[in-house]
Amino acid sequence: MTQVSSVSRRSFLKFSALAGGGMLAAWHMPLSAADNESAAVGDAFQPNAFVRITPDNRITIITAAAEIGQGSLTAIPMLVAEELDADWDLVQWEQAPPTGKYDNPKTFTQLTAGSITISSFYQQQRKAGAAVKEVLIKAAARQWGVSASSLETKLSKVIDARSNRSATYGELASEAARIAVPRSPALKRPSEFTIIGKSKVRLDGAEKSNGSAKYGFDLYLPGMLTAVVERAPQFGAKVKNFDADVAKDVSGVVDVIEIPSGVAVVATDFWSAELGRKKLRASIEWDIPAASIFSSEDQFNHYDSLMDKRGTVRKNTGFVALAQARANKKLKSTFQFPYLAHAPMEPLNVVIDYNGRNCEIWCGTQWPDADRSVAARVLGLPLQRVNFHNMLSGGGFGRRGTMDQDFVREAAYLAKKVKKPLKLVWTREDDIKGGYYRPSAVVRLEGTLNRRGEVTSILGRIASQSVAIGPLMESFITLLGEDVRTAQGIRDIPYDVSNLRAEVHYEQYQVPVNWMRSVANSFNIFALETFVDELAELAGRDAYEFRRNMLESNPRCRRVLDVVAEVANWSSPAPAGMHRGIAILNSYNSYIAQVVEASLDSNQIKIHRVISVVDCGIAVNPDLVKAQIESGIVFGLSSAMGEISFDEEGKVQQNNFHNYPILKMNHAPAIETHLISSDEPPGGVGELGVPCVAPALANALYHATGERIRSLPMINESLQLI
Amino acid sequence: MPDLKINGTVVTVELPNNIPLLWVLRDHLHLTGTKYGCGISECGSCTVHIDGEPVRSCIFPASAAIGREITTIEGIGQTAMGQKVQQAWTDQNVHQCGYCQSGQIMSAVALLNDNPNPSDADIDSAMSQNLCRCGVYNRIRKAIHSVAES
Repeated sequence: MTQVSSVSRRSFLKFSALAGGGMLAAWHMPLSAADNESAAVGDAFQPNAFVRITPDNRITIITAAAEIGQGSLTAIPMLVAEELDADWDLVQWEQAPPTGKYDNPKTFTQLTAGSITISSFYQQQRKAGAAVKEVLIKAAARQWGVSASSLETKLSKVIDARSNRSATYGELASEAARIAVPRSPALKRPSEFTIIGKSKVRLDGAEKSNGSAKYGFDLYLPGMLTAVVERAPQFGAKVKNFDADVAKDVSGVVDVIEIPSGVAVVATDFWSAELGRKKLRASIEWDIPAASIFSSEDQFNHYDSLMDKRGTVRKNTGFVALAQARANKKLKSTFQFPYLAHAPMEPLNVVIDYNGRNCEIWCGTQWPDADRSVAARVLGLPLQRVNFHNMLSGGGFGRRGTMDQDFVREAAYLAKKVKKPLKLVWTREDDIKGGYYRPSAVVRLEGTLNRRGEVTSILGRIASQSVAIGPLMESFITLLGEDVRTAQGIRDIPYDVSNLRAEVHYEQYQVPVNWMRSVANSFNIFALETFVDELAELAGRDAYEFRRNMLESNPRCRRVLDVVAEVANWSSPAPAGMHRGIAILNSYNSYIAQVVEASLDSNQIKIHRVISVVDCGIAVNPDLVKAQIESGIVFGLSSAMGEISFDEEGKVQQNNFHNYPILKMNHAPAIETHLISSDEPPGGVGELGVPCVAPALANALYHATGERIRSLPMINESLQLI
Repeated sequence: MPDLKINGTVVTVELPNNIPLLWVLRDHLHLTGTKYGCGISECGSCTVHIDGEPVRSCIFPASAAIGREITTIEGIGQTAMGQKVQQAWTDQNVHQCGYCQSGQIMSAVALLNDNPNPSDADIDSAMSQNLCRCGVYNRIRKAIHSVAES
């Protein structure tokens, strides 16, 4: 235990009288300052990086993936506990430090993104559990002088049925610590699973119910200061000069500091810092380069002008030009998508304690190893002098894992000057105005039909900023397992279309952009799935049948489509006043088909129900899979109603939830999610529910209005939710 | 320095610069279950009870809470209804990131204290100003109904 954590525990105890009972049990102590290399942590038995067994028979699973709400702190321990035959009631979690040992085995970094957590850790974590089980069995066999093969395991016990005796894992821990851990333990067959496939309650549920869960924002160190940063009103602008004294006059303000991203007001507490910043704001002069000044309208006009020009080719199968020349019917549609802010409910924050020699950081983040490296670089410290604690995150959606680690970098610049415990706080306004947005885009799709009404070609052309800087970096990042390609969704359409071409115009703006939940699928699938409906209409076919006929070589996708059509009673006409729309997606090694039921009364939309059918292979925790689909649906609908836009001066026009709306409870549809039973390896579900819901809604509304929606936000002054 | 009565305990605190109750709870008393989400009463993450009524602590002046009963997420579990609601949230896997849920639970407890058997419309009207970016609204609704039925 570090000094810091013991002090924070004392201050925590001080307030436990106010807090009522039950909190201490849920308080997760940060890991010790040293990387947990050793096999013994106190009296505990830690045979590998992931499992720790204490004499009281509790099992702690040290979980590499960040908990951003998706449930990794429950699902990963389930993988280990399954193979370990652990008593699930005695399993607890701990968030892993970024020490290299906890890298995602497929991406070699500790980034939690791209819906790859379960698929990446599925084998590794089961092996970790199985290996420890073998060690515990050997320990019992030695103690009892029997052969290991005569023993079995159940509920954290090794059992010798012949002699009617048993020992708990906790009791066997000290003996087990002397036994080598096998490298290739035997794994169970899916038919033997007793934990995987069961809808277990979240391990972090109770502490999130009683207020004791600790997010980064909730950490207080003795003598800690709070900083807020006034950033430039235009992206790319730099501080020219400012009057520090106007802020320093505010009681509680300790210092005013210029850092690369703006001017920071450092105070004894948040409220004083924020009052200081309000005084400071008017005094700052900014150096605004010409490139920083653009409006959303300018940008869309520019993107539109690129639609007739060839871009960088990201996919080229068959001969699109030939298919276009031979087409019986042609269709061309252009779509427009705004920037979007992730807006996680917990605004960004970093607690950093740098004393000139060592640095300790507490932060809820999706990319702790990259954050730690950046902090070390900014502070000029060797990596081992930076101790990093990943905390619970109040949402992430990609914002807590940026390519340049912007928020931890900013905190490190501050710490370098302040050299005292410090909490950097972004307000909601800072978050909404702060960039790292889902990029805006214009997408044009061209399609052709033959005489039989079959799709013979699709040409997709996209103008956008790349979240990975450019095409080269895109290819590199894709190797790391994260599909951030701007043509994602078009270049890998699920349909049998023999002539397919996807091109991208990579455009540069000062606005920082980043992956947001479902990345380019979030706009490309809207374009594709509404366009496919248009093609179906042009071919005179039903939207479901039309899709189905193009899924001959994608049976899992066809299956989810068939099942959703059946569940939604697609073959019967919708009830009077109700309209249905359908959309599908095959991404993250998973499949989803969705039907939206909506009605329209003059300009008021009611979204009644969203039915989803999902094939994600083995669903490790089916209830949490459904929870992710539900979450994705609400996120996808929110993305259809909000926008980040720029005025003529290049300033963001939104700043908080009153003008950047997200879906509210009274507008949330009923959600029905069906999982296809499968023994295939797990695919991803964190992003799967997001992309289809808006196009399915747009397809439904077309039946009500006869007008295609090709520009988002679609829910606005003229179409409102009820 | 004035006294505030929080979760049944009286504490003496400084209240500088018209500070909202939220920042007294968090920065001065380290009662961190109450969350900052927007600062303008738009999201409900900061919901606490004053004399049993839900209020947005991010805009509620701490000085206006003097002499009144303040209950936070840390204290609501000491009431029978608070405990039931917290248990329902855990049992139904309502949480995802969980950050807004202190506020959701405080709003739900106030609703159920007032109306032990709320309709969907009652739930909409009591809960629609509590935002959830993870979008767990249907589970919140189900958890509230499950408490009403118990």
